[in-house]
Amino acid sequence: MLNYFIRRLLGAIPTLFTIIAVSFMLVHAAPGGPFDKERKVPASVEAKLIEKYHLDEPLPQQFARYIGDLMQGDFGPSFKYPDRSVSELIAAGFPTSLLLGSCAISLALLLGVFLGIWAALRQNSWIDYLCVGSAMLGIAIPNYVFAPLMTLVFGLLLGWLPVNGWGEPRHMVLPILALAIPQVAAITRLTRASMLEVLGSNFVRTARAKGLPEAVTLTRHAIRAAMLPVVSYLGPAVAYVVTGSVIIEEIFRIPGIGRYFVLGAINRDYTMVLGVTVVFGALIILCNLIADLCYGLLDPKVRYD
Amino acid sequence: MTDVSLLAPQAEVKGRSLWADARRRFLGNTAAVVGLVVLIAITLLSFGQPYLGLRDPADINWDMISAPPDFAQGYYFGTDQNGRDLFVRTLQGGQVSLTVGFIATMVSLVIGTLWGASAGYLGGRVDAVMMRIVDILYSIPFVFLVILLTVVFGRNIELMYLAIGAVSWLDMARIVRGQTVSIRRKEFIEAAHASGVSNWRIITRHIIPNCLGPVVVYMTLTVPAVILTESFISYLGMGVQEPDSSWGTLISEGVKAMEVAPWAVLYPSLVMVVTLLALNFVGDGLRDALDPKDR
Repeated sequence: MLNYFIRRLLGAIPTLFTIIAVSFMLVHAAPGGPFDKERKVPASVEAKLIEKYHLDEPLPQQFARYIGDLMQGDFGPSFKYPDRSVSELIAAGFPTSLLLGSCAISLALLLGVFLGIWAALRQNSWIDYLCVGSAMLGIAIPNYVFAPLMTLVFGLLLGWLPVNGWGEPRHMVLPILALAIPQVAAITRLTRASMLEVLGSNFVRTARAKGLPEAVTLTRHAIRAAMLPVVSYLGPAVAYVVTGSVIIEEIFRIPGIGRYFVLGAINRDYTMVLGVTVVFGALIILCNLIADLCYGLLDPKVRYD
Repeated sequence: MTDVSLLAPQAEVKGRSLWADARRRFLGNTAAVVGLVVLIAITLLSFGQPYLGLRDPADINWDMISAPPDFAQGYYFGTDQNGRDLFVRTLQGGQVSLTVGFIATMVSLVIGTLWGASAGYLGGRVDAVMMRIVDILYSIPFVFLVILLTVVFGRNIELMYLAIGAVSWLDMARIVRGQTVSIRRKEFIEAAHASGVSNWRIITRHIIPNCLGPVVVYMTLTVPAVILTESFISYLGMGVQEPDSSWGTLISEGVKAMEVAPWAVLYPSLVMVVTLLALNFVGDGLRDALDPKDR
């Protein structure tokens, strides 16, 4: 187990390296320097800036320097806010984004798995059709349509929840819902399909044939096996939530790193955009790793050797 | 004593080919057929927009700023905050969104099929390395890379089409590889190999045509994903720019004026959601029609 874990951890390093390298190259292929502003800085100042940020060095050397700094947790200076470093900005926004994202993922998992199993156990009933139908809608309606619609209905028409602001739990309800709904839909569909397949399989028939109570058959055998595709979907789900959080933080004005990413992209703050991309990449890799380990715990066919 | 009559042509039993069978099953699926009809209608309306005698999408009517839908004057979806006809703009946005869906899917199709078929057919270490690369690319948050690309190289629509396509081929490659591995050992491939056909020709003329079923299905599911990606980027203000529009930019503009003119967000979203639903229904219908498992 430990062996497997270490091997997977080592395997994640080239992936992370690729992400950093590709993003770094893209950013540095940019036409025009980061200091091309409306107001031209004097040549001497620009030369000073270029020297300070080591932009005169050859690209491989800059890359090595960036990697070296990254190892020490330093994402470099923000080109937009010269008095703050990207690390500071990320550290300021990350807890918010993490809280938002983990709540959304947990909600999506709980609700999606529950609805999926329920629909599968009542196949072709109105419950099933309702679940499948709303899952279809949930997948087709993007969250930047959901979010404004929910603010319109719950915030402005009904006045139940605040539209803006951040800090209290009630401010989090709408963003979490908007972020979770597409994933609830996807997980419902996935769970339902895999549960139906498992319910028709031989080992479930065996369990029933040997007289196990239905509840035990379901919890010990069927659901456990039906969770496998859901667990392997966890990696992509995290990626979707991370991507979605960018737009949700923008819509609800939440001070998370997704918002920094958008601001950075609009202001052409290259180091900021690069830093957030690297953080998100690392997060997604980590979640894939966790999903892999869970998969092994659930699937009796997987052996760590 | 040969019984000639046995060899004589009998009353012909009409065989059903895979595709004829699939067509029959597809046409029997109401949701899929409705989806297809809706899809064709939206496509024709969007691309026919310049020839339908509608207003120009850039025309500004100063008397109708943020006006609600008005059928008498032909403003079916109302107007936006600049007094432009939202119905026409939604159709115009459809051109961009549908084009993205088509081009990016084609790009992903070409890369994904070639990559997957090569990996599956060549096998061994080549396969391992190629699929490992896919694994690595899989955990890269691509939307960020596409945004990075548009930030770095300016807002160039064609570039964005290609970029979205170039990052959407991974699933396609996996599906095609799986399919290829299962048909690689079949006799007809061996026969082609024995008669001296080159690897490239075997892949393009024999392997790929035989993967077509799952590929077609996956293609119809890639289109909505790609349209969503484009509108996501345009929503953030980093994609299509004025005076052009896509569904993403229209929704984003509509959201800003949501409190005074809810129709400006409602109708473009509705058209987009209907299109995505139709695509999903067609994709599911095709999967059921082409899946040999539940025959």
